[in-house]
Amino acid sequence: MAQTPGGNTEGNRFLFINLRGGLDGLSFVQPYGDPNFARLRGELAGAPVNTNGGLLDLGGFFGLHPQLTGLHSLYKAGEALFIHAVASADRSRSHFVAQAFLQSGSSSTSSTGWMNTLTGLVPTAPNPAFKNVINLCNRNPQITAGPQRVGQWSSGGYMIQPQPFWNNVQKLALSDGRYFSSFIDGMTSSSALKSATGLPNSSLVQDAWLAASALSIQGGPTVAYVEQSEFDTHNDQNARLAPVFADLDAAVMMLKSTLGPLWQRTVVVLASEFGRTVAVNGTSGTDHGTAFAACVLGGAISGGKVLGSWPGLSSGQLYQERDLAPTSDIQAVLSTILMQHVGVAPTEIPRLFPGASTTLYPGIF
Amino acid sequence: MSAVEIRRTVVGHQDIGSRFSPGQFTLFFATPAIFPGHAARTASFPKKEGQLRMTSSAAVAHAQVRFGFGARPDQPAPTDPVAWLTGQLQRATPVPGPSLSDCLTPYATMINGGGNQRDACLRIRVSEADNLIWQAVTTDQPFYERLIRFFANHFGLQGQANYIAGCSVGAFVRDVLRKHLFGKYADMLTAAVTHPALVASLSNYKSMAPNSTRARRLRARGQDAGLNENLARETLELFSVGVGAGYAQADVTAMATLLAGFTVNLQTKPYGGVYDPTMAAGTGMSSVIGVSYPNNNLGCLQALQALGTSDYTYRRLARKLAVHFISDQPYIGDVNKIFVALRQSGGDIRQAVLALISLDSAWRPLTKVKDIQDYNISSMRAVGLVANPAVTPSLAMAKMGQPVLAPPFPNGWDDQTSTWSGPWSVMQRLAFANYVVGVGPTPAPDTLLENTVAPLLRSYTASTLPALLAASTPSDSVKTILTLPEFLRR
Repeated sequence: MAQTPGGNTEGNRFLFINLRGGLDGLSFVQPYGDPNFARLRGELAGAPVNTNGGLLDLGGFFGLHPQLTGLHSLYKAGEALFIHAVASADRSRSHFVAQAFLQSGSSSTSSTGWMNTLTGLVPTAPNPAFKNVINLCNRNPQITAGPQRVGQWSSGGYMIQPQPFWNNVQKLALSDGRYFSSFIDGMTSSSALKSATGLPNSSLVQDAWLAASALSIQGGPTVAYVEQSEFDTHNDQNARLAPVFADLDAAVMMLKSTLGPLWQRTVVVLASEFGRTVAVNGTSGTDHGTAFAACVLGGAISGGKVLGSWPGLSSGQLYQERDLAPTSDIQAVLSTILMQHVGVAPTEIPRLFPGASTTLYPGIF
Repeated sequence: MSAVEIRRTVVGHQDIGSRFSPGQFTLFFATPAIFPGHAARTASFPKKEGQLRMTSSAAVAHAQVRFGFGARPDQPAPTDPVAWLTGQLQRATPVPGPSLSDCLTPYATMINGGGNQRDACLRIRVSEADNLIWQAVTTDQPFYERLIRFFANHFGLQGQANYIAGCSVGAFVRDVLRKHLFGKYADMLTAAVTHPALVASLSNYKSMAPNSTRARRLRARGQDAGLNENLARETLELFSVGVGAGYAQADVTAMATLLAGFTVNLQTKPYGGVYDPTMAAGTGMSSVIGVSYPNNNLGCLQALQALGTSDYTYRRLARKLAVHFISDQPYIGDVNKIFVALRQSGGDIRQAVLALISLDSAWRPLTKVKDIQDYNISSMRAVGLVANPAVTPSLAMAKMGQPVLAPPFPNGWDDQTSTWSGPWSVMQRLAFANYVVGVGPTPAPDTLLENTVAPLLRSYTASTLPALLAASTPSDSVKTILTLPEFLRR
C-alpha cells in the first residue's frame, strides 16, 4: 500500500501518539549487540533474547522491551518498524521547549501546532459535521492549538447526554465564536462516539479505542492525536516502564483490532520530545538526554526493520559525552509520512515544520 | 432551525455580525450602558488616597471574576472593587490543616514496618485536594485564594508522583505558599525547593553527590548512588531563571550537586524536610550561572537566593502573573510594570500583585476562559454550595481532565484559552452545570444572574436571555446561566 508523493491518498488514516516526558529509547529498543551496551546500562539492560522474559529480538542487534509482545508480532508481520537515534533539532533537554518543538516545529510554547495547520492541508472530512483532525486528550495540547477548528473527544469524564437546557446554550453561545463551535462539535461527537463498555481500565487503551472509533466514522476525521505522559523516568525506571510499555502494547493492539480493514490504510507514529541519558543516574533512572527511538506502524507501511544509522555508545560517539547521538530527524520521518501517506504537498511542509527538509526519509513505505 | 441556519442568521445580524469571528473566542466590548464601570479603563490606579472609587456593579462583578472565582449569594457584594482587592493583600488568611509531620505519618509508618498504609496516604491526598477546593468555594478572600492557587500551579505540585509528594502537597500549600505569599519570592522559592513535596515529586530525595560519604558506602556495596538532576533542572527552568537565561548542562549538574542532601526525614518525628550532609559533596564549590557556591547546605541556600532574585526570574514571574490574570498574550509594557515592581522591591510578591491590579488592561473586558477547576469552583460558589461530604469536587475535576494538585508535568497547568475550550471540555462543563444544580438547593434564577454576571452581559445575551429563561424551568434556567458565554470567562 505504498504511496508516492502526490498520489491518491484519499481515505488514508494517520495517528500520532506522543510519548511525553522523554522516552528512553535504549529501554524501548535495546541495542544489545553494541559492545558497550551492557556495561553502560547495568540494571536497565533487559535479559538476553531467547531467555524467559528476555528482550524480543529485532534481527540480531536490537531487542524490543519484553513487555511489547504485540508490537513485536506486528514487526514480524511487516507492520511495525523502528527508527533509532532519532531526535528533533532541539537540544535544550527541556521537556517544555522540546515538546513545543515537536508539536509546533518552533521553540515557542505559543506557536500554532502542526496538526492545527494540517487541517487546512488535508481533505475536509466528507461529513461537514466533523473536523478532519481530532484530538483525543482531555485538554487541547499545543499540537492542535491555533486558528483552525480541531475536533476533541476523550475517554472518561461525565457521560454526555442531551439536556433540555442545551437549546438555550445553542442560542446563547452564538455570541462567542469558539464556544459556539465547540458546543456544536461536542454535540456531534457525543452522539457519534458512544462510550464502549468492557474496555480495559487504562486511559491509553481507551484513548486508542476512541481514536480508532473516530477514524472509523463514515465521513469523519482522518487524522488523530493521542498522548501518554508517563515517560519521565528519573528514578526506578525498570519498575515504572514495564507497566507503561504493557499499556502501550495493549493500546496498539486495540487500535489494530478496532480499525479492522482500515488498518491497511493507517500509519501510526510513536515519538517523544527527547531521549534520556545513556548512563544510569543515582536513583536507578535516567535524566534528560537527546536521541530516542521512534516507532512507525500500521498496515500501510513496509515494516519489519530498524531504520536509522546506529551512532554507537563508546565515549567518543556519545553526544556531549552523555547522550545517544542523533542520526535521524523526527521531522523528516513525520514529513515523509505526511507527504507519502497523508497527501500533504512538499511545498506545504515548511508551513508545518519551518526549515524542515522535504527529502524523503527512506525505508518507511 | 438547524445550527447552521442559526449561525447564518446571526452572522448577518447587525449587532453581532461585525464582531463575529468563528475561528476564535470573540470578546464583545460591552457598551457603557451595561458596563458602566468600563470608565475605569481610562482611570489610572489610585495615585492618591481616594482618587479613584469604582462603585459600579460592573466593576465589582469584573473584579470578582478576573481576580476571584465570582460571587457567592451568602456574601455581601463589595462596594469598592479596588479596596476589596487590596484589602485581601494585608495578611495571610489562616487555613487550618494537619502538620507536615502528621501528613507524612502513614507513609513513615508503612516504610518503617507498620503495615500497609496506602489507603491512608491516598485519603490524605484526596482530603487535602478537596479542602483546597472547598476553601476556594467558600472563602470571602477569593483573590487571596486565587493567588495561592496561582503559586501552587507555578510550582507544578504533582501529588500523583509518589506517596511522599501526595501526602505533603497540602502541607506545602500551607507552609510554603500561605506563609510566603506576602514575602519575598526568593524566600518562597527556597522554602518550595527544599520542601518534601518538591524534593519527592522531582526525585531529589535519593540524589547524592557521587563523592559523598553515603554514595561511596553504597557503591562499595555494589549499589547505585549518584545525582538525580530532575529538581535542579526544573528549579532553573521552571521556578527561577528559565531557559532564556542561557545556562548549560554544567549549570544543571552544579545545581544538582548543591541540592544533593535535601531529602525527607521519615525515621523520627517530626517527619519532614531535612538536610543530610552525608549525601552532599561537602567539600569543593559548584558554579551555577557564573557564581560559585560551597557544596553544602548554606551554599545551596545562597544559590537559591541568587536565582530567586534574578531579573530573569522576575521577568518570568511577571509574565506568568499577567498571563494568568489578564491575557493569553499580555502586553510587554504590562509585564514590564510588574517586573519593575518586583525588581524595585527585591522580589516582594505583594508589590507585584499591586502592580498587576493597577494595570489598565486589568480593567478591560475579560478575554480568558476559566479552566476546568476555576469553572467548577465558580459554579459551586454561584449556587452557594457549602462543604458537603457527598460532593468530592477533586474527583469531578480529575474526571474532567484537571486533577487537583496533580498536573501531568512539573510546569503545572497550561493557562491558555485554547487548552480549555475544545469540544469535549465544553461539554464537560455543561455536564458539571447539570450536576451541580442537582446537588444543592436551586437558587432563584433572577437572583443568581443578578449576583453573578448580569452586569457583564453583552448586548446579545442581555436581549436574548429573558425570553429563554421565561420559557425554562427554574432548574434549567440556573443551568443556562451557569453556561452563559459570560460565565465561562475570567
